[in-house]
Amino acid sequence: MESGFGPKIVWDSGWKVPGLEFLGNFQITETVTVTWLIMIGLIVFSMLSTRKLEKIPKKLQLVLEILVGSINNLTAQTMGEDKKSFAPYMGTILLFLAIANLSGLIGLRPPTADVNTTIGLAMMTFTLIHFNGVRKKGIGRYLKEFTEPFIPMLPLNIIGELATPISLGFRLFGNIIGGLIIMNLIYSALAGLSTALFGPSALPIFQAGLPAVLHVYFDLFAGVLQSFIFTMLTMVYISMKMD
Amino acid sequence: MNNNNKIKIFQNLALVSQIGIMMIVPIVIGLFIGKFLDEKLGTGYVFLFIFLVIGVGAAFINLYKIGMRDQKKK
Repeated sequence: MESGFGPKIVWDSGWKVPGLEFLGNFQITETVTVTWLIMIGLIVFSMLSTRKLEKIPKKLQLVLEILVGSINNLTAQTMGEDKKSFAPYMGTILLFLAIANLSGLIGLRPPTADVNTTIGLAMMTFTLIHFNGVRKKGIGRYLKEFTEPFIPMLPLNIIGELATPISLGFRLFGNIIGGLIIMNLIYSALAGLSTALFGPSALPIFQAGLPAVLHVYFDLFAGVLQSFIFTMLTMVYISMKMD
Repeated sequence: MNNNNKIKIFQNLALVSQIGIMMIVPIVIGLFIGKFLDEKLGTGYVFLFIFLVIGVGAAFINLYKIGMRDQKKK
């Protein structure tokens, strides 16, 4: 705990990236390894579960069909039928964020408790918003929208657009790191309580059971809600720019 | 129809939860740009003030856009 609440450094290469020396050594943190685990999990699951698809679906295929169907439906209803092709991306970030936020439940550090992950995802959203804006409207009409309703509004509109990825990234990061810090503090407080009551060699018995309620709120409720909100806002912002 | 309404509710709840942070972030961006320019050009607090005002304006425009999102379609 001496190093604060940042992610643990799993591997330090000892060398610096040429041209980016000011960033320090090239390191791999817990964030990256947990992200790899989630990626492996999702890839293996989707490969295994789509291997033997049948006309009349069995258990696993039925669950998958409901999942894919509801993501397609959600995208079509939020963004409009014409933008249904965004469903695979939205499904991917929804599943990734949900699993990432819930990974705190099995003792891993959620990758979303690192601002690099959340801002990275928000940058992807930002790129999609503006790329699709240009693609749908053409570069002229897209640029003209920045000067609406009149030309002096240009800097205001630009700063307003820059605020989108920052607010998206930081709200997710803030929610998850907040839960993580509070849970950490409660765990160490409960350990301190059992040492104070039963001496220094006592088992931290209070840690079993009591934090479960808080895990339900901070990991389960806030985690699922925030991943859903992130996906929903991505959809809303993209369709706002394209309409 | 019922399902569609439910999704609309969630969509608007997501936007409402975004309002607070949407108000702060443009102002903070304006603050940092202004501070950076002032330090670079050595102009005291001129740019800080200008960009703070722009940030406040941008925050209002963002909120207006979110508020007027549904009105536009009709």
